Amino acid sequence: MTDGPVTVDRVPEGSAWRFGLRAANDAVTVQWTLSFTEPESLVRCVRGLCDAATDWPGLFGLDCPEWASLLDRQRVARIHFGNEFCQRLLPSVRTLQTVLGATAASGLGFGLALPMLTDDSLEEADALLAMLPEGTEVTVNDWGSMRRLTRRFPGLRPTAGRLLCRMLKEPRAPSAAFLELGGHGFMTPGLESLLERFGVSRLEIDVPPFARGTDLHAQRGRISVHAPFGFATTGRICRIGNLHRPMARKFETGHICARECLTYWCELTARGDPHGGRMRLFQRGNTIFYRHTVTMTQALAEAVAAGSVDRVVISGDWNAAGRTDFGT
Amino acid sequence: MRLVAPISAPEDIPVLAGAGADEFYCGLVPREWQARFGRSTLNRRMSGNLRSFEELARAAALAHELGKRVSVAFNAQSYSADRWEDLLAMLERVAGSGADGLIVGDLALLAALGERGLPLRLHLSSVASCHNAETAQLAAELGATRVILPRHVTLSEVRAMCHALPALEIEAFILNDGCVFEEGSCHTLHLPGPLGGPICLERFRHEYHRGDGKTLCESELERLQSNDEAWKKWLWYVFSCGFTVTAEGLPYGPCGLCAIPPLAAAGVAAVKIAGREGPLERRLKSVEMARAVLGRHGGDDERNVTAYARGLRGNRELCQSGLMCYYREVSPSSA
Repeated sequence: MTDGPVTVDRVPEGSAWRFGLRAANDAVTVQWTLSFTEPESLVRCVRGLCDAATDWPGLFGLDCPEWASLLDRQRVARIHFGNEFCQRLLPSVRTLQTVLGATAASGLGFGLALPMLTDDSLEEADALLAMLPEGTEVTVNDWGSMRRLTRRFPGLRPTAGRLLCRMLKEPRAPSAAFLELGGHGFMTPGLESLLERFGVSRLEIDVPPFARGTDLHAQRGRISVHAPFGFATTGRICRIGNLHRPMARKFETGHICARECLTYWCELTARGDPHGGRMRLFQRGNTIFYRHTVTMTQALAEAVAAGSVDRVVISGDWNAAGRTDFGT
Repeated sequence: MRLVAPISAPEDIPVLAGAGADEFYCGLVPREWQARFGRSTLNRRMSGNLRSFEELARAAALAHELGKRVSVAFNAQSYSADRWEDLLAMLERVAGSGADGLIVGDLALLAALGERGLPLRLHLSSVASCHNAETAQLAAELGATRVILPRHVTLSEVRAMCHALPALEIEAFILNDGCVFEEGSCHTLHLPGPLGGPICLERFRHEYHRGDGKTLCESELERLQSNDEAWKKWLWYVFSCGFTVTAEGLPYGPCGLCAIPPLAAAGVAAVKIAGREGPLERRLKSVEMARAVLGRHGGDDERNVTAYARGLRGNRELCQSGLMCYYREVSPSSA
């Protein structure tokens, strides 16, 4: 399965090509990307992908009918490493070295994802960014990180992460009317100058509840979509990350943790009617996620078929199945 | 250090100014905008907004008579393309109504306003999630004169940002209205109660699992349950201790009053009282409390100011829990 990445480089990265829907007969390919928070999961996965018999969609819970046509004969093209939601999960230099080595040997494309960072963590991130080969994609999730990345590491390619893409994604909303869908945050006209300022050519977005395929496009840049989970809310104060802290020190801003989120995840169900037509909700670390419904997956498939989405980022180990034991 | 207070009507200004507020902020949702685009598309609050440019002009005139400023919050997380031009046209009318500043939650809007050169101060809202000096620097480059920090910052992070950007005004939360998640990264709604209410308050059933697929053991389950109980307790504090007040009407809940000395020492230019949807009495008592502490600051020993702030409500137990604190580093619980 790893005789080379599937690419869609018909249009060079960084071009000013504006997205729109392509003709239906225009052959479309998509870069299937697996994202990981834990280095062990990533390394085992990369080894697994080298085995031609590996059924990778099955490993990530995508062996369901709605994904069948999307995934037909598709190969993994890229591996992304790094948690987008919590700076306490920034990898060490040694860990990143291991991951870079494993990925380079596989021939897969590589990208590093960063969460929102405070000043102290920006310093830590500098050490990681300095290790990346020229041209590596870096997904950033706050504008300050974007500014610093592009000034200090001009050889790296910035991608605007999904935390920068603001839109209503209330997974409990009973109808689309609640969300007043007006497009996602990357559709804001004023954003263009910011993206140009930083040379951003790729944007990462979530599939919002009640999305249509035509909602998943942008005025500028290439679009990556995360699947099969979207994030609804996140923050600095982590419920599970306070598991081992004394009451007087629980839930304080900037708290330290024992990375309990790597061990536990949680499903959230409504008390009155746990299966009352709602999406499935999960909490992993400081973030609440929703799993895409069949309709949302169909919207993503439409956007892929139309060519407005050219990369799908599958949650590798940060998912509801909790596959931190991947490949063992 | 300036004290910034919320108004929901022009007539609030003389009342709150009389109690010691230095600046005011408000929301504005003109009736004609609401008719076209709905109420929730301009800022983060469904109620407590001024409803016309005439009201805004009256508020600005009242503030200016007292030598004060009024800023207007346009702090939606983002604005969609179909209303962008209407929004920019409206902001030009805001400038013509006598308001002094705009509070903007989206860097894209800040960039657009900076290019337009409106005769208004531009403040970056807490909704923009400025957690590092690089973001603050970017805001300044785009035209912001002030950055309002998000709720969840530490004193050391505040110090770092003030130190890195001495020419930029930094505003920090001081009283009221907690939030569980990061306001700028929360893409949910405060749904009506029957639909679950705010997601942070919905009483979900939590079913824990291990990532490695192993079964949770008894001691793990106990520890998780104990942590969940602690979380519920913390939520009560975050949401204003069940929205309770002292016998004198002083509100409980998120508070940074005893951190005023270190905030001032860091170079923070202004402190913010949140809650423009709240009743005037609550906002008035909040201004009185903050002004009382600010009034002692500078003329008294720092330790006395801190002790005074902690004694204001006369309930040491709530204060000493640390769970009401915006800046836990100075909390007695962290000693």
